[in-house]
Amino acid sequence: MSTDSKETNYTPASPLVKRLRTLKAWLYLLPALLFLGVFMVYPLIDVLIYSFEEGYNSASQTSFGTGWYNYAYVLHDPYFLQAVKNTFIIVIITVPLSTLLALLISLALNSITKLKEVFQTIFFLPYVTNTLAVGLVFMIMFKKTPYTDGLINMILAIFKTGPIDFIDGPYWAKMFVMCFYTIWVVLPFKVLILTSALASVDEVYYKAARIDGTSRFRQFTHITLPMISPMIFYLVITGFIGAFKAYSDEVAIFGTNLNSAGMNTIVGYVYDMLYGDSGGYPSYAAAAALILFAIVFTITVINLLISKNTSIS
Amino acid sequence: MKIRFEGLTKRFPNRNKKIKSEVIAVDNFTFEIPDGKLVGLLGPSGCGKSTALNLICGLETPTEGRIFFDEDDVTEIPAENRGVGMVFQSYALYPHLNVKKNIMFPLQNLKGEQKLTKEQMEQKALEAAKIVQIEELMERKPNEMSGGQQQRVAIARALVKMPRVLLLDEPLSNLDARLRIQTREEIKRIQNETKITTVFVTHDQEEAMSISDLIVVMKDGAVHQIGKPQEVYDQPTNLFVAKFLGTPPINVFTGRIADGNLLIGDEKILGKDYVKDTKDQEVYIGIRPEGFVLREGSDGKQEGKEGAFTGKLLTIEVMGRDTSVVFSHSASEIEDTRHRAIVSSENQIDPASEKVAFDLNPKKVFVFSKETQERLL
Repeated sequence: MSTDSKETNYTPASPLVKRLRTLKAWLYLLPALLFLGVFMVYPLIDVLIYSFEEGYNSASQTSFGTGWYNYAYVLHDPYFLQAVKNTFIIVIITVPLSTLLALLISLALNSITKLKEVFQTIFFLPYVTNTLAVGLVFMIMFKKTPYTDGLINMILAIFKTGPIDFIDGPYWAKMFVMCFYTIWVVLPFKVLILTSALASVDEVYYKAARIDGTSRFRQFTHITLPMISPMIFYLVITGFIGAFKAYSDEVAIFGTNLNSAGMNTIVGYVYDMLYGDSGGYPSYAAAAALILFAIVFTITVINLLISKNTSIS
Repeated sequence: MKIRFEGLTKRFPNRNKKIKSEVIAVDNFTFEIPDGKLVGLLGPSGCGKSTALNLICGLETPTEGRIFFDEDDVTEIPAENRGVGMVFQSYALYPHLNVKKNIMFPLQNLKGEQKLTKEQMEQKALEAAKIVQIEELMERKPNEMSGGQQQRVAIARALVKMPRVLLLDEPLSNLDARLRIQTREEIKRIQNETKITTVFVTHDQEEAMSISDLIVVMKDGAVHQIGKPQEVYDQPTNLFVAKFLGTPPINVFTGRIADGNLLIGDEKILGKDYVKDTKDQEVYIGIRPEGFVLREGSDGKQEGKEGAFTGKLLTIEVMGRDTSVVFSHSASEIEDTRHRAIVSSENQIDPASEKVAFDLNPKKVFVFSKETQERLL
């Protein structure tokens, strides 16, 4: 009986009822759509338009004409090229290194039983700490002032090297601090994800492997790694995207004048074009932003293709 | 290869840390599993049978006692060097590897002189796959197979390195009813073919009865009875074993022995021939469902005659081959139990009658001491 009454609920609806239902569905979607439209879609289109408008002035809403001029300018701007170089170095060094380190730390965390929670908390602390506060700590550790060489240089002095000016000194020293900092900041999240991924691998696989005489190393390469590979790929992809968008970390250490420090990033360049000393060039900013978008898009597609292929084989 | 336990004991600290006493999972095992037999460890969940299995394979180390494979003391030998194959309840097939790679996995671990070439490994994997009849599924991934097929792969993986002992943890629990019957016959066949000493764990008495050469009935870490399935069924040593084996379960009543008679309530159900010289006492009486013989014209009219057993008729379930007579009795061990007698379907019973009277087959009646629950008769 109950099934009968259910069936009567699903009598074919009349066209009018159907249309009303569709309308209702759209009505429910409306708030989200409006929000996305105003704050996401419209600005994106606007940026695209700006990037093709020569000498756009946001105050007077005027421009000289349209074309590829902005892109040509940006791609020839030595500051932009420096920013691209910096960004790529940061990405290429920090993403693999931080993922690898996070994996090692997670493995260690997973294999201990005593004080596990304590260590997990310690490793997670940087995640809840303010970026600028962390930057300040790094400054104190690395900066050379007339009064002190900083903590790191004091340690280096024990090994009879240095002192090196990490904040205002040579490019490689600054880049080292930058990468060190970036890795340290992104590590907690990765450790968190990987520890839970490792914990979710069923213990029974290791038991089965042990009975079959599998060495610890082979257990790791043939069981653990394949099982957590989706999470690793997730971290690599989000890591790439995050590193390409780096800006606040640089400001935290080198201050807002990144161009003179030679440590600017692409996002930093965009910001400078909009608001910095050389600000007031929204068209250049738009073009730079779109170039960044193209880079991130390409890298992500490549990443996805690789992850797909490896998971099949 | 035979497996021998000597005073094997495993104690775990209580999970509730406030309780100091330890949990005894395996209590003083001393017995031998003969070579080339299929042995079922049977018991209710939490009785320690899986722990026993883990002790054999070396995933757990015993608190006391020793384990011998033939004459070798393997107690201290780690799992990887014991040469056992194990099939886990969840099969534990590596989800990212196909069937062939799963089966080859144990072979790839071999080192030194035992190391095999790729061709040899593939050859061995194929042989193992043939034993469990999955050679046409070699390229499949575990998630592309049914539970029964995964089970076979797991067995093949355990067999591929020719283990000295094959262990199966609840091998049929994840399969549906039809597949379960099919697979248990399959396990029997594989064991017959390979002649590897096989120990499997189950809580399902039917499963254990149907394929084991020997069953070990366990409860609370202790072995209650070891024997061939039919022996254990026909001659249970105590009330627990009698209750645990058999479907439908044995019917248990409270009764007494008085003046050389066995009584339930006021009814003398069996006489001197059965009771012999057992002294008078309160007892539990277990009667197998097939131990009831319906009385001619069993409408309760012959009630009171010696050897009669009268119950209150509840329903009659016709199963085709035989008939279940469901009745209740005031002397049930547990009040309001629906007892079941299995009688030939040729018997005609009037479902409307209030009472039903049986004769009893003395071979199917067991008497247990009320105090110790040990078997008296």
